[in-house]
Amino acid sequence: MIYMTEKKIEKEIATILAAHLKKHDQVQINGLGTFSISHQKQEQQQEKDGRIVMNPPADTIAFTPEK
Amino acid sequence: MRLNHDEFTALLARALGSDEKEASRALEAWVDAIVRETEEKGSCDVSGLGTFRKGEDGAMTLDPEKSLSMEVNHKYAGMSPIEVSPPKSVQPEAGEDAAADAGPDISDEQKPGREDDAAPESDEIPEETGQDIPVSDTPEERGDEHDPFGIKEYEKEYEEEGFPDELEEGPEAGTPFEPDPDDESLFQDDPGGTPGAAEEKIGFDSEFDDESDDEKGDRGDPDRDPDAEREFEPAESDDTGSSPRPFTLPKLSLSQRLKPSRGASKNKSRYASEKIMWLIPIAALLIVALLLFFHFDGQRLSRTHLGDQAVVQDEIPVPIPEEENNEEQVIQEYVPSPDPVEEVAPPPDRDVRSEPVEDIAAEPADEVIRDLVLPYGLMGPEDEVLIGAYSIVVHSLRNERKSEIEKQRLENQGYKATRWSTVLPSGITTYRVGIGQFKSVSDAERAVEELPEPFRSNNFIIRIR
Repeated sequence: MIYMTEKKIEKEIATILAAHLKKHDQVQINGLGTFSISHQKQEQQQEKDGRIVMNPPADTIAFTPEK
Repeated sequence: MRLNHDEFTALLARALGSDEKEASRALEAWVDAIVRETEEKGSCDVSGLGTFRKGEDGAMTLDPEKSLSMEVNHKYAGMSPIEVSPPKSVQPEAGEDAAADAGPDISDEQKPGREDDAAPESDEIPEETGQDIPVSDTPEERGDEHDPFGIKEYEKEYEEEGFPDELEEGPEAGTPFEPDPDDESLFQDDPGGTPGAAEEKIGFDSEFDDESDDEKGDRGDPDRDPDAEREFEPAESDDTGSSPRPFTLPKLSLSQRLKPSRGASKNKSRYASEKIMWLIPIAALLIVALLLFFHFDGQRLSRTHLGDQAVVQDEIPVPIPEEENNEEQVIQEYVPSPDPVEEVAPPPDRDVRSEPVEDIAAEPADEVIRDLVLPYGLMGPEDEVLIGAYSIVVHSLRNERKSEIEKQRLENQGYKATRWSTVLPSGITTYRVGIGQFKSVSDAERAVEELPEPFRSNNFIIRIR
């Protein structure tokens, strides 16, 4: 019973955290760190064959651990 | 939005149905468990979030779950790199194309002569007629006079062989030729002894060669004047009563079939060949003009109204797990403030169509004309959606109504706003709002610098297809 409760708590925490990350919110949790969204701009890149491509932008999850 | 520890605890308490103290203790226990397991085992897997790992420097890192990463990156889901410029090796070169397209009848000795031709038409048209008129066309054999189509050589050969009697209907046909024995110029040039004249026969079929052999036998007669034969062969044939040579029409070239009056008149035949030499470039120019017209017309697409869809090039099917799909999750991130836009809005008399065209002098004339006609630019009404143009996407929404509101808002600010929908493989429709239409990525990047925040730092360039 206690195990299921822990699992439920873990699931709720992950659900809340993921929901806010999907909204690109920054979430801070004491003792663990800060979750945020990092935006990578589009950039041009030249391949070995001389072809120049533009990589699309991307939003990625960034985690900064608490010191 | 920033969510601190206390706010997160309050949300957890509401989700668990408990007070904040219990939620705070539960959260601390969850954090301690993760930190302890990560330090002991090197990693800790948290369902729905990802895997915490212990880095080389001892700091914790997070590898988010793939589904969560895709949800976070939903705006750019399915996008792949777009090609700005092709590889150098793929760029076509005229010389290579001409060499690749050369017919099998063209020998290696003839290729250098072809490369010397300055006009591009001279590389193309002989290839078309090369199967029927395989003449040697090196500059030495052609002489000083430029004859890219090989017509004069062919005429020369034909005149050398003589025209068939049924084609000799001119007033001179019945006039016998009697060479002047005092005229030494008639005996100076012996066609049989000229290498170029012999090589001109290369490429004719066996029947024609057989006839040529017979001719060679006739030429062996020292009493006959070679030049006289070449110029007035039909008259001599009539004189001697010999039967007409078995020429057949299918073996004649186009220029010879179109000879005006078949009167064996050299002037008339040359006149016909000159006419053909004029007709061929004119026909080629007409074809090129038609191709340009259709190419130019195909670049346009009639204006897309609400509900129309423009497929984006780089929307590649990528499976995206969608656990929750409702309108509440529609992420509206970039709410533009009207003030900064007004600051950067161009003056009303600005000619937006000429904006992307900067290096006009360096571009071909047809491209310049096309750019001036097509409605490229950042500002102005959305007259039509240019397929293949680049646009700056500033909104990527799942709510159609919101996307239309944002599009309308951008239009009210003077932007050339375009909205289209993209159906992801998961079945979810994403509505993207782009501003401006640009000929190249660099033009779009320059336009981005003119945008106000948050568009300037949060956008992506996409190609409309």
